[in-house]
Amino acid sequence: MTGCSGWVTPNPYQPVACRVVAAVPETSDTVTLTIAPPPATAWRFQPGQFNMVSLYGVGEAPISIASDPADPEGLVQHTVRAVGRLTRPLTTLRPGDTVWLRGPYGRPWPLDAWRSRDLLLVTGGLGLAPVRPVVLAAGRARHLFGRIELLYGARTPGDLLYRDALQEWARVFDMTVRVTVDAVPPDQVWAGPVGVVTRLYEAMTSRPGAVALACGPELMMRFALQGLLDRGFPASDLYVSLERRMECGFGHCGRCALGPVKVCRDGPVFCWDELAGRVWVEDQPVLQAVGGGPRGPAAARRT
Amino acid sequence: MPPRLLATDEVEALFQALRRRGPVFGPAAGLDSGARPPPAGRLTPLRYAPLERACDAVLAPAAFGYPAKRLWFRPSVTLAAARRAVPASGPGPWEPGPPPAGAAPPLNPDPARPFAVWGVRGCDLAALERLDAVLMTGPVTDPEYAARRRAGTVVAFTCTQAGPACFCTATGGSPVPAGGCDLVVTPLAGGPGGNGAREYLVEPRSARGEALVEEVGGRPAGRAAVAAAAAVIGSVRAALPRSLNGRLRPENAAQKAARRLDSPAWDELAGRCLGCAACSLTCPTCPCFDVVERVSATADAGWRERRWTSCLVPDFGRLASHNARARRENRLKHWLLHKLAPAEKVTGGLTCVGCGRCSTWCPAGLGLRAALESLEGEGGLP
Repeated sequence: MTGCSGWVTPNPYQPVACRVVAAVPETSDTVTLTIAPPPATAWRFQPGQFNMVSLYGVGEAPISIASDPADPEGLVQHTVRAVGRLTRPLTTLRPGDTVWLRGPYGRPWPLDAWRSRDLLLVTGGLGLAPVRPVVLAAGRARHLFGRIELLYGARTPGDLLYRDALQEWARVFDMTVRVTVDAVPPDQVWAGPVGVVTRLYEAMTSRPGAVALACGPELMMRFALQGLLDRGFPASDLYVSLERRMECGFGHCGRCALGPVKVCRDGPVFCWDELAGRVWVEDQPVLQAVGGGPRGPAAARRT
Repeated sequence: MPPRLLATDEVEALFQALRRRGPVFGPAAGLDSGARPPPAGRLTPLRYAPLERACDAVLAPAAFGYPAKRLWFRPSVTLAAARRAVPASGPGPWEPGPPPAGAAPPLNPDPARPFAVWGVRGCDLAALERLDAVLMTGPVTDPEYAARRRAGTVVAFTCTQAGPACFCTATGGSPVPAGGCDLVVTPLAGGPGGNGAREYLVEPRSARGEALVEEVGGRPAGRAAVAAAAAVIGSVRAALPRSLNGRLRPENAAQKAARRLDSPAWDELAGRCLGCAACSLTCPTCPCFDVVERVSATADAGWRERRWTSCLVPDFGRLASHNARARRENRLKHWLLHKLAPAEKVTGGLTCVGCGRCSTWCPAGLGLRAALESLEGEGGLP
């Protein structure tokens, strides 16, 4: 960039100004933004990757990409819940507004390695967003995969994301979609199952041999993984996508470090085999409790 | 090029040769201009400052001063900026580009401008290798850091004295600077810190270093000079600890500490730690940073600034939903495990280079070795 003396180009921190072309509310606090990167920047990404999304004067945060990697118009979608200083103004953006992106970053879901396998997608809450590109990409190349089963849990019927698409995916992509909610408030109507997402394991048809991925709040992923391990799924067939604070997105800032692993660069997608037994220190070692806890002799060996 | 022997005036000529190429930074006593002097008897760290003569460098043990890392990995860097019009009707959209004149956000001094660093110790040099592993080895290279690494000439000095807090040898390091520099200077016999030496053994470690030595001359170092250097190094080595603590060696430190994560000693350590991050700010290997959002007073310029931070700061692990490490003992564990593991699995040995700064500058008398000592005191590290 000429005129900005002191900057080295190419600058990995330089975000690109992008136009919001649609902002569709999903729930009372969640919006899906459809973003058009400038034509010169072909925003090529793979399912499971994330962008650093920012507003000048407000801040920047990693947000997973929720759209089809093969979108013919090269549009990028982010499903954003209003929880913090940045995400609140992001959910109020209107078509025509500017949002700043840099990326994509992170290791994607290894779809190529999953070819010819059955897929089990276990999702909770906003965790459906990073899995949506998997559904769309696998659905488009449907013949490459075996059976596909999506389990999705939300807090209430009003918290369901992509509500209309869920039924359409089942039909168009020939996949099984099972949805549950934790609770039904008096003012909402729900005819489906009630209970946490792992309750759907009782009804699911997926069996060990399928590749399973879990994405959602960490507590949900913990029970999802444990349930699958208990049912005989090997750790090498289980995948998760993790969320941590990130300042850079490519392994420099250290904020997302889990021991020697950096979520932004080595993840956010991990095979459970890579994380099981690893030692990292957090107040609530939620995921580390999967498979009997992190502090055994096996843990020390893997440091 | 075989090592050369330089007399004191030739070392000064070497220094001046560097100064002709750009500023030469070296460890110096004294304060920033305008800062008030410390109360009598209070120690202030040496800091890398532009020097005019080689003899102005205070070649004390590394722990007596700030790390050299700030010359490459600067404490604060502007990463990106945007501007917008702010008419009375309200601010317009942000546009990429340099901020308008008058908004005056800090721009970075040209990172490609040549400079030299004089008097770098082996530990700081090893730390630079660890920073390289983070900032230059992954999928993305930090352009600012990389430009400074290319622009900086490094003249490293062999330690002729073991400091009270030094333990480089226990981390797999050495008082002799390893690779990653342009020249290694070993003062032969003389006063403490090498300042009183009359002769210096100079070993070029790069083409740039060779060119500098060619320029100042000197004479080929004879067998006696090499033996004298070895004697200096041997005596320093003998004064340095061989293990981190008891049986803790670089190869097994991380595993052993990981097995003590449930020790009650952590609560005691957390009770003493003030969470001030002095250890990180003086650590030559700490690479973590924040990206801070800034807006000018007139709201017409916005920019993002990278700033050093520390995993011991309460906010470090904060997410939108919760704080991953609100508990201080967990922040200490996170810090210690990182210092005991190799940086990015790229470098050998530990991330810690054994400079001893964390224990020297901790206001609570803690530090890496003190933390290990507490863990060991409670039943002994397995």
